[in-house]
Amino acid sequence: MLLKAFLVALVAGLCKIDNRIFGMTMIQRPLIVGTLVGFIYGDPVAGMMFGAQFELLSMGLVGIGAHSGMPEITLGSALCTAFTLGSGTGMEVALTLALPISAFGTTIGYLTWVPLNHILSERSKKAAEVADTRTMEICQWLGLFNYFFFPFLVVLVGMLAGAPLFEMLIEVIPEFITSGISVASSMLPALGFALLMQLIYTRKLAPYLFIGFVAVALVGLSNVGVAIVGGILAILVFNNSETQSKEVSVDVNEI
Amino acid sequence: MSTKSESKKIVKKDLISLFWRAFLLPACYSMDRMQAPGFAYSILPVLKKLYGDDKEKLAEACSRHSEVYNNTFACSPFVLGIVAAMEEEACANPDFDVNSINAIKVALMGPLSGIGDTFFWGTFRIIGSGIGVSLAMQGNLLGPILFLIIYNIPNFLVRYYGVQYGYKLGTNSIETLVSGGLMNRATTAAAVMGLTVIGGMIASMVSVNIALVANFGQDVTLNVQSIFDDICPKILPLGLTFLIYRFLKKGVKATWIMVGIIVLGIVGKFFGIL
Repeated sequence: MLLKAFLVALVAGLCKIDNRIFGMTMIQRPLIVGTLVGFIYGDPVAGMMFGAQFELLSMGLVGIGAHSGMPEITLGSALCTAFTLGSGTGMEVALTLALPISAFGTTIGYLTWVPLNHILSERSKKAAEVADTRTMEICQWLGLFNYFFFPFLVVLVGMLAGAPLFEMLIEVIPEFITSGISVASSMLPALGFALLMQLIYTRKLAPYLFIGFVAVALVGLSNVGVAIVGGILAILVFNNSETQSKEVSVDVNEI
Repeated sequence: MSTKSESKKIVKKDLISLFWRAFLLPACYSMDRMQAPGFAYSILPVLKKLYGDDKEKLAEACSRHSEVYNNTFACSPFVLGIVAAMEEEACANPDFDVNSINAIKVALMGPLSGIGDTFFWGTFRIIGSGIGVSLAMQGNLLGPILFLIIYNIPNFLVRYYGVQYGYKLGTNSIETLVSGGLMNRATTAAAVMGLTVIGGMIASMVSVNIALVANFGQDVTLNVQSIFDDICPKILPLGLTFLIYRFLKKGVKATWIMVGIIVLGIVGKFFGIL
């Protein structure tokens, strides 16, 4: 148990610094985190399938400036995948808990790595003024350490304290709530897509969304098929916009 | 360093070092100055090479790059390349206005992160996770692997070629890119692809099923879901997505919408509507 808790925390910590040193490779996303935690529990497929569910729910929760208070879904998915695989049950409950737990992770962040990195950032600026390049580099690496260490710690504590609590919880929750949550979780991806639409949707581009919709709903294309159609459309739009490039632009202010 | 080679100090090796250091760029992120320490960290080797023997100028340059900076991570190497070229010019030419370096940085931050987010979060990630999730749901371990591959090929290409292209652009003229409308066209094309895929995924991944069957006496029943299916399959998920989009536009917080959906699910199940 202790070893598993340590490994899950390690996975969470490493996936959490995805943006900080690996160049945002998306290992921070629930689909990857879930699969990795699955390996720890000897069932990567089950971990992956839980991760895929949570990936859908959190589709719109992305690390963009305006969303900086976003839930720490990396931590949430690591913990909840471990909970559901550890207890062998309660997937719906884990799925529901994943977002509140992720939100709690954000709060922890505001209390730990956020203020600490603020101090480092100020220190680095002072060092820059006197060309103390060594201190500047140290600040940068310490910042990375904060981003790894605190998520690691949070998940470690969460694993040791949370797992027994989780098993207790699934016993007491009545059936209609868990099945209601499972109904809700099949609707929740809509929120994700709506959040994404905020990023790129304009009335002028609306037809493309409907083309994609019709291609799947009526024609029955797969996701790969739609991606190919989208790619072709993108090339067409790019080629045809040569003369009127000023008119079609995405309003960045809408984000 | 001899004064002879002053006009061309930055070589390919330096650009590669910028490429690597850009990975650590967001590590010391803070809420107010954002990626500023990281930008200074990443550009350091170039500054050291250019101003190495002049402590005062180095300090000046370090401070210059400790000003607020924020960008989509994958776009930063491109900016680093441009800045490297401008610093090189500033070092060689005493008349060069160093304020223009930060002016360009600031001017690029807004549009580049807008474009970067559209491409990386809104297009590549959506396509990657769309394909990845649908495979994963069938229990196929290729799902997460494909997700990473689809997303990261453009990610690393943009990083690697970004720094070199940025450097070339910085030595010639940056205006051509900004005013040429190329960035706008590319962003629109990315948005088109992203939206097409989102439209498809609304149909394949959101599901709203109405369990309610209205009963009018004896054998006359009305299955609500099948009526909607007759109009157009998946019309309910589409409607729900646009409804949520309207709420978001009106400023309703995503968290509250989420809570609302969960409550709706539980209440709906309790009364047998959903």
